[in-house]
Amino acid sequence: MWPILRAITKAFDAILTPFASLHPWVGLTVVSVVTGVVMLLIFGKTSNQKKISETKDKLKAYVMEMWIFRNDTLVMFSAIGSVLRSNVQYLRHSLRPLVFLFIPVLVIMVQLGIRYADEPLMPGDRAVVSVKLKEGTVPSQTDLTLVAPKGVRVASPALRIDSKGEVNWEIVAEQPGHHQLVLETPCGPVHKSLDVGPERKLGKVGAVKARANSWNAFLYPAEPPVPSSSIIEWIKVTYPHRELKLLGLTVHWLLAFFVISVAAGFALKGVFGIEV
Amino acid sequence: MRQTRRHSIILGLPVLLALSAFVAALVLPGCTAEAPESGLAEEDRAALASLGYVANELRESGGRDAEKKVLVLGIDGMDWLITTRLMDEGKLPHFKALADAGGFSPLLSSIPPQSPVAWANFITGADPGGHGIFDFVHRDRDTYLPYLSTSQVENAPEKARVLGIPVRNEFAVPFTDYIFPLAGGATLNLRKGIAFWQVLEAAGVPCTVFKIPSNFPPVPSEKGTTKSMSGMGTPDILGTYGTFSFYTTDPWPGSDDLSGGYVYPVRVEDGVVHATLLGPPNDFKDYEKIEERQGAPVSYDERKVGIDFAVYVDPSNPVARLDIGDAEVVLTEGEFSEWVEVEFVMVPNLITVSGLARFYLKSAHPEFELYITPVQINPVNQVLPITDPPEYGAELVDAVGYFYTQNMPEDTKALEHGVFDNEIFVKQSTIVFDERLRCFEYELSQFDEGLLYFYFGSLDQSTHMMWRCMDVGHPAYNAEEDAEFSDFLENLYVKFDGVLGEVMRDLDENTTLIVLSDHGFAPYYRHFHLNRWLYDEGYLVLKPGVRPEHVEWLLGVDWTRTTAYGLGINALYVNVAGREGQGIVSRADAPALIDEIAEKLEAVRDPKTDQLVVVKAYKASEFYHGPYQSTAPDIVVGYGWGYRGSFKTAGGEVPAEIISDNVGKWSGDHCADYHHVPGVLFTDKPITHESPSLYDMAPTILSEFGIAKRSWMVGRSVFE
Repeated sequence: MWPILRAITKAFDAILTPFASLHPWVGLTVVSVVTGVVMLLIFGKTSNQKKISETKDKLKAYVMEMWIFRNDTLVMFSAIGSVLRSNVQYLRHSLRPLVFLFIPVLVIMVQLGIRYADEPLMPGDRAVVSVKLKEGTVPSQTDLTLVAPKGVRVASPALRIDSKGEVNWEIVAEQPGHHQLVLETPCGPVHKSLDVGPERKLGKVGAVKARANSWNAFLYPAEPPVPSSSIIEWIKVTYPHRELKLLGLTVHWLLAFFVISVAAGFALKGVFGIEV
Repeated sequence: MRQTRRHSIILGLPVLLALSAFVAALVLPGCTAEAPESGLAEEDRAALASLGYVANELRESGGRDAEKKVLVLGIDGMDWLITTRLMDEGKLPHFKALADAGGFSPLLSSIPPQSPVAWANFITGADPGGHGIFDFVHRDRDTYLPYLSTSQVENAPEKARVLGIPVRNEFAVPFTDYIFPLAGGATLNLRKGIAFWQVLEAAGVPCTVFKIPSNFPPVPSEKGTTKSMSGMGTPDILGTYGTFSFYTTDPWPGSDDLSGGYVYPVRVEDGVVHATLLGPPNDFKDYEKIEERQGAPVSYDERKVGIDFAVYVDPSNPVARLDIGDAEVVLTEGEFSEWVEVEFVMVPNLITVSGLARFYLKSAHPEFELYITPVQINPVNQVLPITDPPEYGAELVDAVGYFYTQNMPEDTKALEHGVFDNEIFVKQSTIVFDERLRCFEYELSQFDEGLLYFYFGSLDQSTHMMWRCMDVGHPAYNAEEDAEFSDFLENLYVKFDGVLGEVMRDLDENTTLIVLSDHGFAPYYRHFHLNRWLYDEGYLVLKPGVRPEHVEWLLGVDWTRTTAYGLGINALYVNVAGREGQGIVSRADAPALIDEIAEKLEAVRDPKTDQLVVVKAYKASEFYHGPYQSTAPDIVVGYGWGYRGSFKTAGGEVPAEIISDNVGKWSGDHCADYHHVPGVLFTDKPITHESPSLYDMAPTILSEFGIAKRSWMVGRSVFE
């Protein structure tokens, strides 16, 4: 799976590189709008446009019926029932395109996630490196050493938590750079990237490096996965979360992505002649 | 991966709360509480009104120089004697250079020389009679109980007005234990008088006032041209002056009853400690209803909102991980964590109180010992107002990160109770200093017009606690523990010299630089237990059967036979009829009694040293001026070198002896006679005043901007 994820990641690198030096909102807005358009096109191609159009027309008619016959209880209840029925039909017609939309949207979200969820450490920042071991491996009986490159300092002894199967270290970022931490294990070294920015600009930040073919490996494609033969399940670095501000309020990137892409889709449906 | 915890939520509560919030949103705009009394005297109200004329006066005298700037560094507790010695030894080259190029003088403190009193003198240009702060602690005249003199948090009133109709001040959410007050309480700054920056603001001078004491909550800016952050008087999230939490597997006798901190016994089970960090009481709960349902009272501690946390301890390495809220913090033995935001959930999904805490793993093995700082008010999300405007808090955090917001952040109580040793105290003190320095550097970079006042408190708190380390004759000196810290205070002075060097390097010719302190320091060798002396002299009488050693907060005093009592560090009150709740001394007899007590006090000798304990007993009527003179203590005790009113006196206790050795860590002090503890005044212009005092500084600053001294100010510019 990794070669596919790496190819997708490189494609997104190429798409987002022009926005790297701009405000995070710029890249997110462009990607969200493009996503909205792509979703719209996929929806148009994979849905039964005629049926959707008919169902929406019926919905409007039943709503009008409710208004016109609002003094006739029987007709009114019948219209409400028809509205509910039409709604179910509408959802049924939307289901097929949603299945087609699911995979591309998930891929886009994963790619945005490794760029917008976290931001690099800054020199002086402290972070926790957590290592989860394979089930059955006892941390206090396993020889693990975290080796930091120049520019990063390991600031604590290993903290072994047997009940969780984890080992933690505190590290201190000292110099900017795309560093590689090395975890010495009985099965050989495992590398984990560590991003320390000169500034908190947009870029890939791989918070987690997980075992190959795991769900986490799919969610965090910023770097190659941990080899399946390793005793490591995942390695995590606690980066600071990226805060997107809008009018003084902090907005989660995922919410912003959905709102902008859906708004773009609805705004442009007339242009593409697609019934949603 | 990360451990998550969920607070229990009553079924359907979010829906009910949403409905309630909707109802409240409709109702609340029409709700008001009675406005709290400002407590301002007629003179102050007139003075406030007169500020409108300041701009006119300035225009008539030629207008203000828009380029003019004044930078004031307030270094609490910088001592004139120590500073002079270190300058002579060549250890403070920048202070020496400033003194040589401009002016250097001892700066007389207030009577008494306590920080809130002294800084209020500085702020208002008046003596305590003009600002109403006479001691750290004042007494309620009716009940004789003490309260903090600088600020007061008033609970929500019992009644609120909805569209003018008085109603019970709560909205109960049906089927839950939650209530919402319709009108909130208030936080009052008890310092009276007019701050000099209010005058500057009226004249159009932009001001930044950082952490000045006796300014909580900060004086609101009328024109929006003043930014201020509150200083001494600012509480932690519990509303106290700083309450730490300490979790240990090895509690000691008496650790369940400490002032300034809570000690919680814990156990390490399977490498994990589970504990709770207690926050403020939840005022959104209907305790009457809960008590009625469970048939038992809900104690104050049970009302507090807690945050559960877990600490995972390594089997042998000196390290642990603390999981609290969404945060995971790896703690190495002997290191403070960064600030961690903690959220106390008052009403699930609706109301939280945000605070900040640092964690210190004192020991992982063999005993587990974890210290948590007093939880600070989060400047970004202020539960009580600590900045004006409120956005100023977020601006500072954006610029420098989180920082201590409580007054006097050095944890003197933790050191006093043995939770800290010298080394930990120094580490924590260094964190406080470094944070403050970052704030200062930021403010200095923003300072391009008007006034910047910036306060440093580290020297004061450190000198209180570490004086013994440089004084081998101090009863609290312990060579084994203290010798290696003998130069700590000296090094702190040197650090401030470095700060001054940075300031002087960037100073332009339009800026007047003033560096000052509110008082100096003296050793605190011996406690004087004023109430015991009054008891032995027959002025203070206890109820039959009450043993003196059992008295606290003056409870047990027979007020029908008591003529005088002490409360606070330097204050002595006569039990005046018609003034005190159960006064027995007539107003006519009071002056003679005051004279008699003053004379006797000035004759008290320490049997151990044969020294006079009291240099002077100051009669308030002779030394204070202004509208609040009538609320002053009758005598302010000016103690001799090495003596101070004991903590037991401040707390209204009557211990067994009149004078005893001070063997506590709090070993240096300034609550002596004010002549013993002058502060310092450095300026970049020659000082012409022959004996400058703190209350001269407000007129000095005004005059630098071309503004005349105001009517309530008792001093004059030090440059004139």
